[in-house]
Parts: sequence; structure tokens; C-alpha cells
Amino acid sequence: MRAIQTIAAREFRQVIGTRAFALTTLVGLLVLIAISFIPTAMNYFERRDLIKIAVTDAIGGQYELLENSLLSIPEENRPNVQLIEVVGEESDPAVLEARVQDGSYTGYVSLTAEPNRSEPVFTLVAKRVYPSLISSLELILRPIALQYRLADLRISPEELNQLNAPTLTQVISLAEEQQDMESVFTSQILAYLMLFLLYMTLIGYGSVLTNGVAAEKGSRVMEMMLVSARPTDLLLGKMIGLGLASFLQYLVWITVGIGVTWLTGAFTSLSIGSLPFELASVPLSTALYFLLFYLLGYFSYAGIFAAAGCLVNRPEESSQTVMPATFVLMVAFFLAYSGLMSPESTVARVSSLLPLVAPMAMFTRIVMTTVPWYEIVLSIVITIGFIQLSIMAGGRIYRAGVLSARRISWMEGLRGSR
Amino acid sequence: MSGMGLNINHVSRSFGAVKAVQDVWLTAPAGSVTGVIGPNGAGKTTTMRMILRIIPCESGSITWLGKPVADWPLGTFGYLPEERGLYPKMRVRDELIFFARLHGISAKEALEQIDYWTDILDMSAILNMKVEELSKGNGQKVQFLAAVIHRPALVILDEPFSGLDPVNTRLFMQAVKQLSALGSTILFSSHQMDYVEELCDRVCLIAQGRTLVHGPIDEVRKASGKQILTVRLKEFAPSERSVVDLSAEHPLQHEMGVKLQTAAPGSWRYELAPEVDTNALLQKLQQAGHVQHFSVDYPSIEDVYLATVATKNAPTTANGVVKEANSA
Repeated sequence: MRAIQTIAAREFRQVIGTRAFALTTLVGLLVLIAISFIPTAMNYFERRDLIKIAVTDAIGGQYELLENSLLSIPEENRPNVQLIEVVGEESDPAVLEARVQDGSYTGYVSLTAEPNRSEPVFTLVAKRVYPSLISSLELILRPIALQYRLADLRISPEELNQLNAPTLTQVISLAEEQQDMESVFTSQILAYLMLFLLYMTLIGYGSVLTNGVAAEKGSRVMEMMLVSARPTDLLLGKMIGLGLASFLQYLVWITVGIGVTWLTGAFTSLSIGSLPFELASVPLSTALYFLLFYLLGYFSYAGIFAAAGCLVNRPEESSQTVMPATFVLMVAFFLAYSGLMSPESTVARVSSLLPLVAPMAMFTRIVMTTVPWYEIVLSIVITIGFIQLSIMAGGRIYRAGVLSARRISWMEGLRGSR
Repeated sequence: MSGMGLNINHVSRSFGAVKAVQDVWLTAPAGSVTGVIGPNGAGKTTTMRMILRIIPCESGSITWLGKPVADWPLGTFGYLPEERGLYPKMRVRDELIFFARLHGISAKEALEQIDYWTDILDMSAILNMKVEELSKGNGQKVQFLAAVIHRPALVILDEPFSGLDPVNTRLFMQAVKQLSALGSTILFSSHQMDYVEELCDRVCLIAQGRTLVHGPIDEVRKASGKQILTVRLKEFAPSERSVVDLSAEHPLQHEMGVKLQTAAPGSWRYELAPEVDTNALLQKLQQAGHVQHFSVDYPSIEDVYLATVATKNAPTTANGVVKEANSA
């Protein structure tokens, strides 16, 4: 225990003292801040990109319809369009074209009537036609056109509502806890976050672990340490130290992230599309499961990455020995991801009991569905058993590796010191 | 012989087809300093690793104070490996505290030990430096201190003097003597026989994975029954031929039981059979020239080494690993 603690503390200090750690933390922070300011920045640019549309109404009374249509669009979806009614000389096409050319207007819309047609003809003239311009105008014009078309077909607004009524009139969930769309969304985000965090941590820190062990072997410092510590202590200490360093990094990011969203007024309610992610609505049990399965996932792979370092003599040689571990991680990631898409499927059930996949897949199932308690316990027991085995195997490889002056294979390592 | 001190009882260990250690045995009483000598690839490092439980022995046993080494808690022993290794990015003081904590002593005790050894090893100027900035000699000092900072009862030093300049070598020898004075039992390997002779009470010669000679230094030196005569003569006039080949003509050329070992201009070293009368030899020499130096002593450890290893004629491979087709 003393050895594990000493090695973990050294590893932690060593990693957080490196320039790479400071740099990745800083870059992560900048990305985070940039992301949280994106809505504000987009707002700013949208305001600058105000679409000014002049309207000439040759029919009469249509401009008001346009204006009402624009105002009836909910504010968050309302296009950034300003409508200006032009009359008299100003409505002369030549004048309007000149105005469009000099940039006073983005474009102009003329409303004209056509014989045998109740719906007005909307003509748009613009200097440049681009998708958001068309879609913005469509949003305003479509309801007006619809009204005319409904009248032509003699359909009343009530009849239209009937036509548009949802097919499923009642939705009943038999889950113990009633899940509304918002909490399903929150669960999904959490499951994504777990997959993303584990994947990023293991891809990023896995190689740090491998290279650290390889460097210790290369510099022969391992031999000095084996006098006072078991190989498994050395591996576990390194894994814990590095895990804590990654934790510190996430803590910095999360703290700053929450701080920034709080400052920008979006605290605890991060909306993606129209669905809000309610941080405060995450139950404590889910948060604890998140922590537990994150740790289980980290240690499942960390042992393999550390053992990979014992096989080589120089950090540069490690990429090939790490490959199997990275490959397994990718397969596990995709299995867990498919579980996220269909959490009730057989694939999801089986993968939540497979070592290496279980931490990701079981967490996904827990947040998305109701999992029997014995399956959760079984998944945890299997994973802890696997971690124990992998650390023992890692210790064996460590002992075999420390005595070897050349690169050894996984099989040679597992066979132990010959 | 078991009980006190370190007792290696006929251990063996092979790596695949290579029999690194076949039959090594030695006893090192508590508080003694034992030098382990032998050619490269003789099995010295493997033996040390077996003492330290880094690798298990295949047969035989190793005990410390009567108890198998495996039963002692981790951190009981101290080890300076042959290949030097420290964390290059750490500062010296932090590195020493790290190893001290790993070996089981507190940071406070570690700082006391650092204070104690700083003067002896002349390393006060390097404590705040990063390990990667150190010279080889200074790096070795740090590693030595990292190995003994917890005052282990048994200290194993694998080639502690290799690659050191004469000043640092002296410093290290002083440190080893100090460690011994503090009560540690020390086992160290070296190719520098004069250091072994100066520092050790006992010596163990290993070749081809076997203990060939073992015992207190004096007894080992006396064991052959032979003596070494060193002579320096002025005004000895050799013929022209022997100026080119110094061993062709020498003052005791025709004496029975006298065998020339080495020759330099005006000085010779002879191996004497036990029955040789040294007084008669001195008279002979006085007739041959002006005797400036005449000394008779038992063979040095180097003589014993050369005689024993030459007899064995160990077939070592290029990388120094002893290879044998059949097991003994």
C-alpha cells in the first residue's frame, strides 16, 4: 500500500508538471470557452447579417399579412429579417434594383396577382441568392400561401388541425420511473459523455502510461524499485497516479465550464436543439454509477496499456505493442455505441457483461433502461475480476520485461521470466 | 553454515537454454564486507537478483539471518544495480525522498539521511539539480544514496566503482567503509581487485555460474601455498636480445621453484613454490646487481583470480553469457 501510494504520488506530480499537461489543459479550456461563447457569437453575427427585404404590394393588404406571419414565428426560430414596405416612386423596380445593388436592401419581394389564381405571386430579386435567404423567406411566405390554398380547397383551419393530429394519441411507459423526453435526452447525453470521456482518457493517457513504463524499463530505474515494491504495486501506483492527473484535468475543465456557462446565464441547462440537458436533474445514483463505471473502464484498460510498456525498451517502440489494446478499445467503443442506439438489444445485454466493454455498455443500459440489479452486480464483479487478472498478468510481464534487454512479445511476457 | 548473516546455499538459475547460475554458494556474516569477483557473465548479477527476490532461484536457497529472503518484508535490502537508472526529470532531493518513501522511511527521516550523506559524498551542490543535468559520477552518488537511504541491514552493490574517476572512486570507497561502520552487511561485485582487497573481509570468486573460491581474504590468499616475490635491481646487465624481450633473461633465470610472472625494465615478479628458500634468493640477487626492492608476500586477489580463471578457461561468448551444452 505504501509503495502504491508513493508511486502514485510521484506519477501524479510528474505528469501534472509536464508541459504537455499544461498545454492540453489550456487548449481544452480554450475550446470549452469557445464552445460556450458560440451561441453569443452566432447571435452577434446574425444581427450583423440582418436580411433587409423591401416589399412592394401591388395587390394591397398583403404587406400586413407578411408582417403578421413574421411576428407569429416563435422568437427562437424567427429569421433575422426586416421587412420594409415601399410605395410610390420607391417601389419602382429600377429604383429598388439600384437600392439592392448599393446594399441598402438585401433584396426585394414583389407581390402581384395573376388571373385565375387566388394566391399571390411572390417574386424575389436579390443581388446574391443563398440558402438561408430563401429558407428565411419561405418561413414567412409559406403560411400565407397555405391560407390561400386551404381556402381554394375549402378546408377550414379546424379541419387542417384534424388532418395534422398526431397518430399516437396516448403514450404510456411501463418503466418504474416515468421518463419524459427530457430525461431520456439527459440520459443519452450522459451515456455519450461516458463513452467520450473513457475513450479520450484511454487514447490520450494510455500512451502516456505505456511510454512511462517503457522509459522506466529503458532507464533501468525499475530494478531499483523492485527491491522495495512488487511489480503489481508499481503498475497500480502508476495507473492511479495517472488516473488522478486526468481527473484533475477534467476537474479544471468542468469547473471552468460550469463557471463560464453560469456567467453566460446558461448554468445547468445546456440546450441542444430544442431539448435541454438538465445537469441538476441527473439523479445521485446515476452520478455515482457514472463515477464507478468510469473508474472500472479506466482500470480495465490501464493495466493493459501499462503492461504494453514492459514489453519494449524504449518509448519509441511502444506503438506496435499498444496496437492490440487500442484495437480492443475501438471495438468496445463501437459495441457500446450500438448499445446506446438500442439499449434493449441482445448485443447491448451481452456486451454489458463482457470484460472491457461492460463498463461502457452497462452504464448506457442503466441510464437508458431498467436493468435488473443482479445484472449490474454481475457486470461489476466480472469487470473487477478482469482488472485483477490483468494487473496480475501485467506484473508477470513486468518481471519478465525488466530482465530482458530486447523487445518481447505479449506471449513471451505472459509466460513470465524464462 | 546458516544462521547469522547472508547464506547462499547452492543456488541455480537458467534463462531458456542459458545456465546463468549453476552452483553458487557463499556466506557473508552479519556486518562483513564481501567482494564478489568473476569474469563477465559469470552469474554475479543473476545471483544478486536472486538475493533481492527480483528473480526466484530454481534450486537451492538463500537466507538472511536464518530466514529465507522471501520472508523478509520489502524494503529490508538495499540495491545499487549495475546499470544505472533514475528518473531523469526529477530533482535530486525529490528523487531521494521518493526512493526513501518507497523503501519505507518518512520524508523527514530521508532528509536527515540526505544531510548525513551529503558531506561524505560531497553532493551538497547537486541536491537541487535535475538528475539529467548530473555528471556520471554525481549520478552514481545519487543512485548510491537512493539505494542505502533507508539504512538497509544488507546492501548489494553491483559494480559500484565502474566508470568513476579516481577522486570519486576514493569518495565511494569511503562511503562503503562508512556504511560498513554503521553496521550494514555489504556484498559488492567489482572487476577492480585492489578495491576488493582494500574494502573486503571476504571474497567469493564465481566463474561459469559456480563458486570456485570463497572465504576470508587472507585465507584465500594463503590457500595456494605459493608466494610472490617482487624484485627491483639496479646494474643488472642483460644481453641485447633481452632488452627487446624482457622475459628472455632475468636474474633468477636458473633457480628451481621460481617462475617468472611479469617483467619490466629493472623489475620482476616471481611466483615461488612453497619449498623455496627466500634468503638464498636474496643472496643470488645481490650478486647479480644492486637490490633496490625485495618483498615476499602471498598472492594478491588478482593473482588468485587470474590463476583460477585461467585454469578454468571459461568459454564466454561475446555478450558475456556463459553457455554450456549440457547441464552439470
